[in-house]
Amino acid sequence: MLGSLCFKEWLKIRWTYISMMVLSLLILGYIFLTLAHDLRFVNAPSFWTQVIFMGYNFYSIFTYFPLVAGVALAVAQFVPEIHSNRLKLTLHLPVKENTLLFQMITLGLFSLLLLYVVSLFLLLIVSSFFFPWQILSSIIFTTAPWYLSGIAAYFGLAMIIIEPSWIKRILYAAIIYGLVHCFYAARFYNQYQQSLPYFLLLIFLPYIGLFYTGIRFRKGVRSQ
Amino acid sequence: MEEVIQCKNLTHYYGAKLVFENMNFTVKRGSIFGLLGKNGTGKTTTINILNGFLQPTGGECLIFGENTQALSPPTKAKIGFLMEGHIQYSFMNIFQIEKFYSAFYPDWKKEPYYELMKKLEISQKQKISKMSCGQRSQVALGLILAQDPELMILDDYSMGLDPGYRQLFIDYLSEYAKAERKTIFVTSHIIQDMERLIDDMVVLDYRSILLSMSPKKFMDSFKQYRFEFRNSPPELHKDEIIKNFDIIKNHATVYTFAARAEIENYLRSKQIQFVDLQEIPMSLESAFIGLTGKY
Repeated sequence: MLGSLCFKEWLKIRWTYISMMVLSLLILGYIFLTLAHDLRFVNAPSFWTQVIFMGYNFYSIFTYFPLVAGVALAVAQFVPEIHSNRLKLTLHLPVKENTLLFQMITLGLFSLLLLYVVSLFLLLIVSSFFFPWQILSSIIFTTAPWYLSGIAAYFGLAMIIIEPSWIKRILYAAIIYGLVHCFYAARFYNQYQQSLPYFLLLIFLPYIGLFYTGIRFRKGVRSQ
Repeated sequence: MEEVIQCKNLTHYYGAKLVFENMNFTVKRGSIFGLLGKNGTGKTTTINILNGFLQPTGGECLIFGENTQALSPPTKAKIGFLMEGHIQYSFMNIFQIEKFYSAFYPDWKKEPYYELMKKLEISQKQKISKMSCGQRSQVALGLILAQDPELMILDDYSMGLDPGYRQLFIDYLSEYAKAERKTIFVTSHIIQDMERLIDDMVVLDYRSILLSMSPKKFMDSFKQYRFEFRNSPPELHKDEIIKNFDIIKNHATVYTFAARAEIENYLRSKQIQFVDLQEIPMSLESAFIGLTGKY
């Protein structure tokens, strides 16, 4: 049954997922070429100074990629379910409703994590051509809030899509916007290193909310 | 005979608007039950309550003895559900959707599904989103037949179907129900199809049940009488005898469960001068409209 559910979820997200994968490769290719160009043809010591002392973020183009990927994946996975109330077909399957919702979210989350792991790994590979490991470790801590924002946005958007009431959708959207905004307040490398455990807790808010809206959908709360 | 569906004192409001109040009905095993009514009388609301997709304001529905608000997975496996408009996963093709559902149902029988798909003469790789409404109805029906459920809940199967597809749908359904002794709960606004399909029916009016009996008994007992009147139009009112009436020019038509003699006495008692009173034969659809009214 889980394999069959995986198949259904994959059919919905495949083109979005492949597009996000290609987009991440394009961004990383751009970062690699820019780094190679700036270090070889401009002025390597000056570039190094900017990175180390002035906090220049050479991968800033990557900042919103995890967020965009999280939003795109939630839309691709949950809009077809809500269109014509198809989620009723899924919830009618002979499995407990909360288990089905949990499995769908977990499959989406794992897909997103795989995309993130691949993109981070490639970013580290690209950076390893030019920088020592200290810079590489800072990349992990600097990008971690961005990735967490993508996960929060994925949960949050799924919650907004499943919610039957438009008024509550607008309310949730405002909350999720505020939540996601928190992940982007840092201006320098590693600034959020101490906050990461709290961020991890924060992303569980929309995760729990998702089950709440799932119950509201099942109980037939009317759109208004 | 065992009751597959029991709805007791079912009441539902959307906000302040009452949909129905204290509605009671049962569906027996092996029967084809029609829930009929005009638009907005609560047919889809009842279907949603039966499938656990809506919590009623009051009362409860039981399917196979379980409250529909908490159906267990084994009970859900025994229920086939056709959504209004033959909604299915339109991003799948014929082959993918059969594969998908087959994993969830241990008694899955793909033969009836592919038999129906052969009739459509379309490629197995054709996406459901690219199909006509009639073709989608056959996919939805084929999937339910393959699931081989004990109970089918079909929400307005006739929506958007031309007469050919409607006929095909009914032929398959009635054949299947008879051969396998399955229970079918169906709603439809095309009443003429119901005549040869359903064993029992409930006709919903706004806020309550208008009628609950078999179509045969209904057709045997519900009458349409037409008469000519002289002078001014008669003052008719709905009551215990007159269920509905129409007045056009100098003709009045009354719908009633009363026999001819009874209606004649009734009209005389109301001092209505009538001539040429005739019983007009009706189809189930005409009788339904006669009972519920045209508006």
